[in-house]
Parts: sequence; C-alpha cells; structure tokens
Amino acid sequence: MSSNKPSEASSMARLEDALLEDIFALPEADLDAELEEIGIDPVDASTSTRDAIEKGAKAAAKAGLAEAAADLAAFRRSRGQGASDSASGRALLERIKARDPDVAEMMIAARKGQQLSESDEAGIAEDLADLEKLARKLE
Amino acid sequence: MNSVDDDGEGSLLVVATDEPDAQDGLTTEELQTAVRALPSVDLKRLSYAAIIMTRGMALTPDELVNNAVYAALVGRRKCPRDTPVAVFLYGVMRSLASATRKTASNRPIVQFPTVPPGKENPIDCIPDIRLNPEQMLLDREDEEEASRDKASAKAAARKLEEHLSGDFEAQMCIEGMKEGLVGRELRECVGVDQAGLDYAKKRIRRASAKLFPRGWRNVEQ
Repeated sequence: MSSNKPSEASSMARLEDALLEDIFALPEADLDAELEEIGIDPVDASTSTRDAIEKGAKAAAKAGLAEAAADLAAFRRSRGQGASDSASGRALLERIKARDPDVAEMMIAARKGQQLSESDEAGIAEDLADLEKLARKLE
Repeated sequence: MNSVDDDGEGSLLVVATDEPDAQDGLTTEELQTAVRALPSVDLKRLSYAAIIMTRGMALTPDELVNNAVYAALVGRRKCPRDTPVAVFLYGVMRSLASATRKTASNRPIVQFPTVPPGKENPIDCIPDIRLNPEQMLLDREDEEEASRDKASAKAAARKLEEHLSGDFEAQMCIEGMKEGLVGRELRECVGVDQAGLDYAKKRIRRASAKLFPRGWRNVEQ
C-alpha cells in the first residue's frame, strides 16, 4: 500500500526550490550581503554572469545563422538549383552585358551608381537561370 | 509550480519552461535584447541561483547560465510577456540543472511491465533476466540512485534540523516550505511577519551553504 506523503527527497527538492525562488525577491542590499557571506564579490558575480549571457547569446546567434544557411541550401536543392544552372545563368548574364552595354549601365543605375558586387551578379545569374528553365518549360 | 496566494503575495510564478509555445511570448529578437539588457541586480540573482543549483555538479555556475541563455534563445518555448526575463531564465536553468543531474547519473526512465492476462501471481510479472539483462542492470542502478537520493535527503534534513535546533522559526519555515506553503499561509505557520519570514529564510540559506557545500543530494550519512 503506497503512502501519499511526499518522499524526503521531494520535500528537500521543494525546500530548495522555494529558497531559490526567494532569491528573486531579495532586495539588492540583502542579495549583496548573502553573496559576500559565501565568499562571492557581488560585482564579480554581475560581470561574470553578463559575460556568460553574452557567450550564450552569441552561440545562439551563430546557431541561427547556420540553420538559415542550411534552410537556404535545402530550398535551392528543392528548386533544382545546381552548379550547372548557376553556370548557365552566369553565361547568359555575360552574353547580355557583352551584347548590350546599355543593359550593364541600367544594372549599375539600378544600384544607384554602385558597381555590381560579386554577390549581386551571382543573384542575377541565378534569376536568369530560373527564367531560362521557366522559358524551356513553356516551350 | 507555486502560485500567488489570496493576498497578492507569494512566491514567484515560474512558468514557460514546462509549457508549450506561448502565443503571446517574446520573440527571439526581443528575448535576446532583454537578456543583454538585464540590470546588475538580476545578474547577481541569476549568479546566486546558479551557484546553489550547481553545488556538487561538474557544471560551473557560469556554464549553467551560458547554456540556459542558449537554450532560451534557440528553443521553442517562449518567455511570456508578463514574466520577468530573469525569472524565465531561472526556470530554464532549473530544467537544465535537473536534466544534467539525470544525465550524470545515467538514470533512464524505467517502465515496469504490465500484468500479463491470466498472470495475477506477482512472481509471474518479474521480467526474466535472461531476456533483458541490460534492462535489469539499469533498473538496479535506478533503484540504487533513488535509494541514494533518499538517504542523502534524510541525512541532509537531519543535519539541517540539528544545526537549527533552538531556532524554532527557521524549523517551522522549513516544514512550511516543504509542504509548499507560501505568503500569508507560510507567515501564519511560522508565526512571524514578512520581515521575520525573510530573516528566517536567510538563516536557512546560510545553514544550507555551510552544511551542503556540494548540494544536499551529495550529503553522506
């Protein structure tokens, strides 16, 4: 027959939880005094905790970027965007620029006088590759 | 989970870590901004809580804070808008510390077999060790761990009582908190006002720090 009385372990855990929660209601002066009693400098505690928080936040930001990059790669794979597509888009872009210098100027004008960066050209090449594929589908 | 009692006082409401995604919670960006902007007093509270939670563990207090911030920012659970961010982080720290303890002790979740139909004799329900020796070993380890926790808790409770003998208010406060009493109920149990209660809790924390440098779970008999 089991008893409904909580075990000593769960009672001690509940006591510890209550004492921990109480810390978040302590006035700052009392908090500093208790930290000093256990040999902790309150200023050091604040500084090292801020550093730990910053470390955790940076790691989380990095993880978020990695996840976004993985999502983008997966999206491109699902669209069938491969190296050959990029190459054909790039080749098409170069033909356009060579055939019609005005188009190249328009691209620069659209970028407010700034030369196209490598990533700008890569983006345009991808879009052109997509258009080529679409055009082939419609034929 | 403790709740606010009738007269508006009581322990803090610790939420979020045990609840699924909250509709009205901080976005990741908002939470990131908020944790980076925590005032010094909250940083010290988190530090103090982490020191207590990691006693006897291989994890350092700063590692617990670091991991909790990471988990809070990449996890699915959101900080409710009406919960102080420091309290939310404390909840995450608490969950992580508990999970770390379970990992360290390699305590699997043990599933006991149900009674097979027609086998009311309990002897028939004992799993055959020849069929699953690994599970039997894990079951035995789990029982030993539970037994150690029980022994440690008893020893810790006894040490605390001996150390605080003569301090009636602290002892009553301990018993009240073990029962889950908060606010007015706890004050009435101890027979003091709020200032008296706060002082009793301080004496208990001081005693715990002295008696359990490696946490109450590692107290030897």
